[in-house]
Amino acid sequence: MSSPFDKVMEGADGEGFEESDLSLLETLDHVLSKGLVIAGEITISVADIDLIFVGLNVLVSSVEKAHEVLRERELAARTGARATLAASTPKKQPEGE
Amino acid sequence: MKLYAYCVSEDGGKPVDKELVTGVGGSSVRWLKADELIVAVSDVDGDTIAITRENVLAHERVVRKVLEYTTPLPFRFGTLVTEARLQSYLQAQQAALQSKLLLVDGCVEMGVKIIWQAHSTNKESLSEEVSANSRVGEQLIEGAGSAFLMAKRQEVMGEKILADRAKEIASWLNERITASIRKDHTSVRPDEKLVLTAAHLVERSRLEQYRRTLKQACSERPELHFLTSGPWPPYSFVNVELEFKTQFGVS
Repeated sequence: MSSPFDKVMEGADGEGFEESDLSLLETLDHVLSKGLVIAGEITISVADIDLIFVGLNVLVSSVEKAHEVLRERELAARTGARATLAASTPKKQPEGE
Repeated sequence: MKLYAYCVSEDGGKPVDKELVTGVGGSSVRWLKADELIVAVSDVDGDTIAITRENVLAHERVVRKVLEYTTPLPFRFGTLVTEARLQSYLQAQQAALQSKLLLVDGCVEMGVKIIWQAHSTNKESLSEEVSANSRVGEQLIEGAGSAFLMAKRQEVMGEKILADRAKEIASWLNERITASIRKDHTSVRPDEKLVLTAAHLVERSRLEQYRRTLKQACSERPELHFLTSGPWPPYSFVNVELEFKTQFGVS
């Protein structure tokens, strides 16, 4: 297979990786975390241990993708919590009533 | 016996050369027809696919082979499905798949990762910048609590400075290459090393123009490292309804 790196731009030292390492990492990033998914139809194994996340369609993701989802979940949870808190806080009754 | 699915494309594309392409686990690759779509598949025994270097590269090799003839929509690695399930999926998603095929028609995906120079985001330089911006560095810090809050403040402001810088770089890059691409998918989540990750959908006929433009852009920002890859099948532009986020209930 030809390398998907048609060029590594000048100045990119790759943090000490060989181009073949970078090529494999990029390939992993693409094929494991992107592409069409058929619900519930991905089952993979690592070192003969099956990885099955029941109910999820994505079983493996890149660290970057996982971080993205976790951050968004955290943000959504915070926003939801604020909304719940605001809704459940009793309004002050005007004095004298 | 299940089918391992590599990619889907419009019927009419030239067939994969079986003599040249070997699929996962050394299997042969064939086309499965479904109305106006065709899917590159292998017959595979078992219910799982091991993540091995060979299998990952085999998946990519098959999709890349198809990319030589046409622009397919690649399946994610590990898509193992019964023929009935695959046919059902293709029928249900035919319109969406054809729409995506139209979007990527004649294009390839190019990847760009931008990395900070090592010295530009270290804690000392960010701390200095935060202090310079807020002039809090001149204030007298008394007690452990104040010191903690001061450090926390600098940490938060440092992250904001990084985010602002990254957004500016993303905007600059987009401005430079927008005329050379059909679509982009840019992810700006800066940390101490990475500025942004971008996938560009580039028409094959404009690939050289894109490369030239990107190289010129690189020379304008010597303070940044650019790591480019491609051409790829359009992995970043194909998700149909089943985006990763939605599976976790994130809107």
